[in-house]
Amino acid sequence: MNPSDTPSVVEITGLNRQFGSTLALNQVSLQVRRGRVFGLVGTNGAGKTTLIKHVLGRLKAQSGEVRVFGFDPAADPVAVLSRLGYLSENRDLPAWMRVDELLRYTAAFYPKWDEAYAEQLRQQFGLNPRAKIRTLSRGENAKAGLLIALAYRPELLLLDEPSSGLDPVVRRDILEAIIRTVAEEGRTVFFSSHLLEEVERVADDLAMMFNGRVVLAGALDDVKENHHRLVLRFDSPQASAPKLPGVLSMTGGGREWTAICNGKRDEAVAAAARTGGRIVAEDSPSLDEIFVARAGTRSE
Amino acid sequence: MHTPVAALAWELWRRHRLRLIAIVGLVLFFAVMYPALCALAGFNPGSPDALEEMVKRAGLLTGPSLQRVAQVLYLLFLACGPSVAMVLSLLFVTWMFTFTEFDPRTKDPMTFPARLFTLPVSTPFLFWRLFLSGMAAVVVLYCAWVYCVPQPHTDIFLTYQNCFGWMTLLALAQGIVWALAAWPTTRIVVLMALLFCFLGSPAQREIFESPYVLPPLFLLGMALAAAGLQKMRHGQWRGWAWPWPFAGWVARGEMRGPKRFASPAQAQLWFEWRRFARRLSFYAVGLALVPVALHLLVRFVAGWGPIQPDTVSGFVLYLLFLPPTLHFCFAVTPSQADLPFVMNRPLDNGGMMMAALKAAGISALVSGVVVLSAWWVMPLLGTTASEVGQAFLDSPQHGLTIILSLMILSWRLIAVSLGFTWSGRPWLARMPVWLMLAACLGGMTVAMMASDDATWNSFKWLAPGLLAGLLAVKFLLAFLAFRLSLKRGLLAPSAFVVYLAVWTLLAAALLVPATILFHGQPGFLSLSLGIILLTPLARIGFCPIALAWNRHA
Repeated sequence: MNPSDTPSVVEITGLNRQFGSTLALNQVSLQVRRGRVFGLVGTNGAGKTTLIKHVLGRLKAQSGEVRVFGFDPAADPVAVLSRLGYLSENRDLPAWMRVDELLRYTAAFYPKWDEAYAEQLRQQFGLNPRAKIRTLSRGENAKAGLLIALAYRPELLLLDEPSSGLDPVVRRDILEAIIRTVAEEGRTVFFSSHLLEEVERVADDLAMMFNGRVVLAGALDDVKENHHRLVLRFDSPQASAPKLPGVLSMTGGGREWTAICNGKRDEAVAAAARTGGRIVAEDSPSLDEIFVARAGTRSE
Repeated sequence: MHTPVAALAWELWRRHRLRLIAIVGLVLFFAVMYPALCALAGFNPGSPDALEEMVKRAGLLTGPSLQRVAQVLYLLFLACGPSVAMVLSLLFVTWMFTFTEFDPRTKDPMTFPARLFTLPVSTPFLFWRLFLSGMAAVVVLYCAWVYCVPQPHTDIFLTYQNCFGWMTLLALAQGIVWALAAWPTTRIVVLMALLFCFLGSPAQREIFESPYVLPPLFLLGMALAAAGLQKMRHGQWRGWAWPWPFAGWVARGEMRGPKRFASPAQAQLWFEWRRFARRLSFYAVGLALVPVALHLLVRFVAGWGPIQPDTVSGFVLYLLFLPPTLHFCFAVTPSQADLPFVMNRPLDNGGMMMAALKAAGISALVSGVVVLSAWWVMPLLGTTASEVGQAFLDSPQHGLTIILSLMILSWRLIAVSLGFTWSGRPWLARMPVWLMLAACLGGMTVAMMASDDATWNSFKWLAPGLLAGLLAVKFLLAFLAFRLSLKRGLLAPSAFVVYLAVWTLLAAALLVPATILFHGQPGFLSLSLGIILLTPLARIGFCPIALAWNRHA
């Protein structure tokens, strides 16, 4: 089988990365499946950008393995980069270029560059072709970066914090572009974000990172299904948070406490009953709540 | 820090503390050690004829060359050291109290920090705080230099012993920097003009002594600074609204590229041309042709001339040094801003390197042609072509050889630095400067050896063997570097073959005229080996590997 025909577009196994005494990535393993939108979430300094740089080939694995389309991106950058569209967190576009020059220059590297689609995106994003990159606003800069990442219809769209610092209108444009990319058969999106509602809206799969480790990975639906929010009421005020197995976080005070639990619902309910608490409300927590609960557990 | 005044003072101290400590150290050194050093050397800095005495003593020095050079440098230090240190430290304090810093967003090296405008302090407070503390710093530093350090009696530096002159310079610098904040280029030009007038104007003694010049300038600087700070805070001055008048010409003249690039290599060449080579070419054209145009104006409009032979020699030397200097300065301070963008393109390292080498080749060619044109125009200045030639050359062939060497040298200075600067390692990026210093030291050593016949003859006998050994090392390193680059797929075999052909052509382009001109003369073998040694090969092979360190850290 041709390495590029593997079902996983990105395969990372046991990846470690150390910068001085800081362990930036610690035994990271994950897979990004073809045709899926993969969201990578994590706190600041969790290692998201470092992981994306490994996928891009800008960092070489110190130990472990990274495969993109079946190739090592550091050993064979041309094979990987020619099939991948990348939007950097810092945008990194040459400030002296004009928008039309940027398009002309980038087009030369991609035989599949779609002139009409590029023009359509340019008009949709409202970018002036004569404007210099240095004169663009932050949002326009992000759009220009996204435009050159999308216009050759890459098999993998790699986005590092695509909507960081952008207003809701630009965020919506970018999300729409991602959704459209996914709608086209066989395309894959791998993106990192701080905005969990954004991940919740578009991602099929997700991984949560904390201190260089992947603390949670899987399909978004499974993740949400395996987490529960329970509101417990006790007959007498509790001086400290009640201890429940599988609880990621417990907030509240006195008689009423809210728990975010991981695992089977029935087990959580039984454990709550053993502590003397009654469940007065329960529902699925938002991704935001799961993330905060996971991050809080890790930092303690 | 309980007050805004203390907080601002702390910020100044925190930003410049190492430099300020160095200035205090310099003052202390010259106050304590300098008199003792002068006494040891038998030099009286207070004597009205101090400089003439130094020159006489330098002329009487004897002994081995190296020792003579060291003694001359020491005498120079005694004669000028305190004054130079004083001027430099006062210029630093002037810059410090313009209160500007580098802005990574706009890349403007002199941006007034906008964060100060968000503090709950009034603009007059900010202005008076910076203005008065700057004036106080200038007065204190000036007094420390003049009253604690024995300044030698030299006419040149006596000019700068005027405290009010330095205060006026600070007021004007603050005024220019703050009032012209919206026009960075104009501001730099006006600042340079001010510095030139202050440091280089022949009429400065009269200016300093006149009561009608400095006080109005001081008040003008103060008013400009106060108004500038106010306008800057409230965004009332903006950049020029009309387009740059030459933008159209430049756009027509530049290499804009076809509507669609035929290949990634062509696109990358265009990118490198726009990134640096175009700028280098424009600088070379401007710096070579503007002085020629000024000379022509003086000759034909003012009717002065003909140009003096000494000026011809100086001007030819200037033209010869211009392209290599420009290319070297670029090579050692390259912009890293666009590298991440390029490294994310599907292009191998060799492709990136070849594009940069080609762009450097174009800028070196343009610079060489411009120098040649300026050279040909010089006879119009009233001197004869032979006088221009005789300034340095024996024949027209020598001239063409020099221009050809100049182009190759200019290109080489970028080519051999590429691997160092693209490595992404700061210590390696500084290597071209150290190599240049080592080359200068080597040149000086050879020059000194030439003054002693016995040493020189031994050197001439050893030189071919030494160069042949170095060549063998060069070829071995080149073989290893290219093999590794090819093995790791960093360089396409076709690019390797093309570069080998270019290398052969470059070496031949210098070897053939050298053979015609110097065949049969002593030292010809060393010259030929030196040409082959200096044509870059190993470092070009190393370049894709260095780029891989940066690209896949």
